[in-house]
Amino acid sequence: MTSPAGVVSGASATPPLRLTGADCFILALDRIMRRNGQHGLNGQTHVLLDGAPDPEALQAAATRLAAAFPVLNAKVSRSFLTLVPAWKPARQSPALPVRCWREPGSNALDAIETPSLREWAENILNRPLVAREGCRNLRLDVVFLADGKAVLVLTWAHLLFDGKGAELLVGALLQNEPLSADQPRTSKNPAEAPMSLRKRFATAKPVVERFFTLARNKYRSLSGPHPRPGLLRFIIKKLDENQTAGVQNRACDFTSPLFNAAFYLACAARAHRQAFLSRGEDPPHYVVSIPVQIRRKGGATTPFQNCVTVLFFCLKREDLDSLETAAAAAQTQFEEMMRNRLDTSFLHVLEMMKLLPAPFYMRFVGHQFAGEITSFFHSFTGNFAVPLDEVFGAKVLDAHHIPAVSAPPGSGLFMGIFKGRLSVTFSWRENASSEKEAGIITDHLLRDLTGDPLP
Amino acid sequence: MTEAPDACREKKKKLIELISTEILEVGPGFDENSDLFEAGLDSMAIMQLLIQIETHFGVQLRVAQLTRANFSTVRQIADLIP
Repeated sequence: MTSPAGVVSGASATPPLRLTGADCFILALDRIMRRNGQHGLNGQTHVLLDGAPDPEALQAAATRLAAAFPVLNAKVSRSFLTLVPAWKPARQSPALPVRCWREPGSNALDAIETPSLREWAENILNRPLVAREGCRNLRLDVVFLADGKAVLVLTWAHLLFDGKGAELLVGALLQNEPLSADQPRTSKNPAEAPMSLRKRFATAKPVVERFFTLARNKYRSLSGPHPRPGLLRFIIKKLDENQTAGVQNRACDFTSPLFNAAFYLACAARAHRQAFLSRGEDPPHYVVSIPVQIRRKGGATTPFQNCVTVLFFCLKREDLDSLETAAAAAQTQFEEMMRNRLDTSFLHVLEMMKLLPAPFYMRFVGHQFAGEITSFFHSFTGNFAVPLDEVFGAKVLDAHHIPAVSAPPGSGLFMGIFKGRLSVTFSWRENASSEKEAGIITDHLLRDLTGDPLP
Repeated sequence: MTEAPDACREKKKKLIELISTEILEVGPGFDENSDLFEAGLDSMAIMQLLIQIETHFGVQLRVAQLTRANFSTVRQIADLIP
């Protein structure tokens, strides 16, 4: 559904789907990646099934999804007059074909053979998402595994939504959730409210000052500051229910029972330090950006838009000497940033930067932070947003995300929980890190998370 | 000394107002006994709520008080505020 101005509605809904400040940051990063041979900022969501889903029901759901959400096939362009980026609808009706693949040993018929799920997934993430047939911003595939299970894979442009939004879209696709026009937007982005420029600058000031402070710190990423091509790789580690419960208890012990994002950040930073140490380096600081959801909790919400603000942490090398000191430092910064409302402040910065074309974003980064965005990317998305038990005749066993990363920083550690099981995804770009470093990072991470020595 | 019923009622009313306008998307039936975690309270929302409590009631809660039981309902939170 399109409005007279040509702006795409998220779910045939009013108000039309705007690009948030976070969307525009993703847009800039996506453009820079494309210019440097990194094929844009995409992500994958894998839903592991105990067998093959009903193909007709799945295809019908996909068709329904594409028809309900024209944004899946829209592209972003800037208004010539206002420079404001906006979704523009495609001329043709979108289609969303479900493609089928099979690992060697699978007895699935009518599927194209692929060496392995991991190789297939990396191959898809290392190419542009736009296909000759299908939607511009989303593709659906089923990979039949050698052991008889199947994985439903959604590959999505990060410009559409954040990880939580991807989970909501999975719910819309697999659970026949209502896609009617009255699905409200309940992100509470205070930066979208009309405001005088003077007041907006005043609100943005704390985070600008934070940036100046961060810029004085000497941090670096695994890739180094210069964007360059490099294939995306990933590795996934899963914990069982008992291990996950143990991790959650440790998180409570190290931080507090109700806020433990600092624990996961501390583990991720210490794991990255091990990779630097293996190179004979020990950077004095680690700067990490943590996305924070601003979707209004508890309300129905559209999956679309990157509904996040970002908190920027800076941990000193000495902080990382022990997990206790790392978690305490992260927790203290978290509380200070929330107290000073840096979450809101950053939304205003993003709102003001909306008009800037991609090169200006990177010029800012290059000038302010010597080309480095952060030391690495990190997020902990908590519990999967929608309950999934059985879909299209198959039982759901697991679900997790594989976010792509840009270089710089060239690596990211992402965590989430599905049905009481923690998954850890380490994504990196060749030329930034390696399989060996991925092993160092994930081994150390698991040791910190669980408290168990390495096997 | 026990708290005056009016003061206690006002405290709960203010908490409900803060939660429903600033923190959570709650339905019309939301009251002091509604389960906040079922309504979507998560760690970020709790942090925002703590800041609101500090701003509006001048109270900084101790880490030991930050338990799931203490934050399960408006009634429980009100008990933490002197």
